[in-house]
Amino acid sequence: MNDILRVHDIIESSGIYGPGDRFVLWVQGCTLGCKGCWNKETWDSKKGFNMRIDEIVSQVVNIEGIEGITILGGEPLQQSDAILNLMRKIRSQGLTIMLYTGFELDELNGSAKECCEIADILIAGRYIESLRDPYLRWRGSSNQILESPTGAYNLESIEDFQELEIFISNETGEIIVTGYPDEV
Amino acid sequence: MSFITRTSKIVMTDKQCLEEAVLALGGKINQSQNHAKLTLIAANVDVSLYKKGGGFWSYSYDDRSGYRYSDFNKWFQEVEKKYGELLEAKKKRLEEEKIRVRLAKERLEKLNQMNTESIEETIESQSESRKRIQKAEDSLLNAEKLLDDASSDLERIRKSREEYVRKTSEMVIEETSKDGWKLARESHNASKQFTRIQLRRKRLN
Repeated sequence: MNDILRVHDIIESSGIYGPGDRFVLWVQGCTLGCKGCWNKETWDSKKGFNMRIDEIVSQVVNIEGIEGITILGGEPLQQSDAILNLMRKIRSQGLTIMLYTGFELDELNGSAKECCEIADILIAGRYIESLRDPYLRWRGSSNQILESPTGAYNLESIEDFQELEIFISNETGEIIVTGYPDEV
Repeated sequence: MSFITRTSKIVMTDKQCLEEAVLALGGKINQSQNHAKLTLIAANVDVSLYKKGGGFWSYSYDDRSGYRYSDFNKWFQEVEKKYGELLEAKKKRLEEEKIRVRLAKERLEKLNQMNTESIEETIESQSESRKRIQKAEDSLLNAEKLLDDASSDLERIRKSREEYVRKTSEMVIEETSKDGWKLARESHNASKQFTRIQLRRKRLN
């Protein structure tokens, strides 16, 4: 099914997952099992919830002031058909796409490979705990590549620093913290 | 000119009936200024009527035309008879009028009573309406007070939440700054009802 995506969580607008404010989508399900992963709750593909691709797109286009969408996980390319469908629809709306994958590029083919090719920013490669560097911009470990397959962004001037984002709900007082933690 | 004066056989106290009786029998009455004398002209005989005490009428006539007394007397008897009939009719009319007036009075009283009852009912109904209106107004005032109280509570809660978020934000920024985090952006999204704090920390060499 390429019109349904298993989703772990969503943040409608974040400033730390790519350039500008972005809609951030964590997919549910990952079998790579990287040692030291701090998103282990995204591994089980039976958890999370289903969302229709059109539903996600509709939600994204109604958010004011966002530059694009960032897809991470979980492992997005283990649902590559649906992700490709989503990316095409997002692109048709004039928004940019930042894609995370734990796969190495030479491991990919088909729709998974196409996802990487049409991403405006791609972060690829396993998370290797020993190479972990929390000060790397948008990456977890130094082996992971950061590139712009479409050339939409010039990433050479990207400055590295550690980022955290904290959301405090005015209604419930709930606090949500996202970013790249110091310690796992 | 000679006059003969006689009294009537019946008491004709009702002037209206007497006049009507004379007129009904072809006579004519010329009333004098003092209302005491009537001149009767009938059958070529000029007759004068004089009001006597006790309701009797006397009359005199001029016989120069040769009209005989017996004829006149007979005529006057007819007047008396007619007077009696008219008087009875008048009495009957009066009785009927009395009955009509009595019934009208009764109806009027009944109407007055009904009207009074209606007014009383109306007053009572208005009183009930006023009570209901007052009750509704009291209820409305009470509801408005409750709404005001609820609004005040909501405003107090809203301010309390704002204060909580403000203090929490200040605390987060202050505590993270101790570990080298710097505030990159702080924004408040009114439509989504959240505050966003973006922090950055550079590598320490």
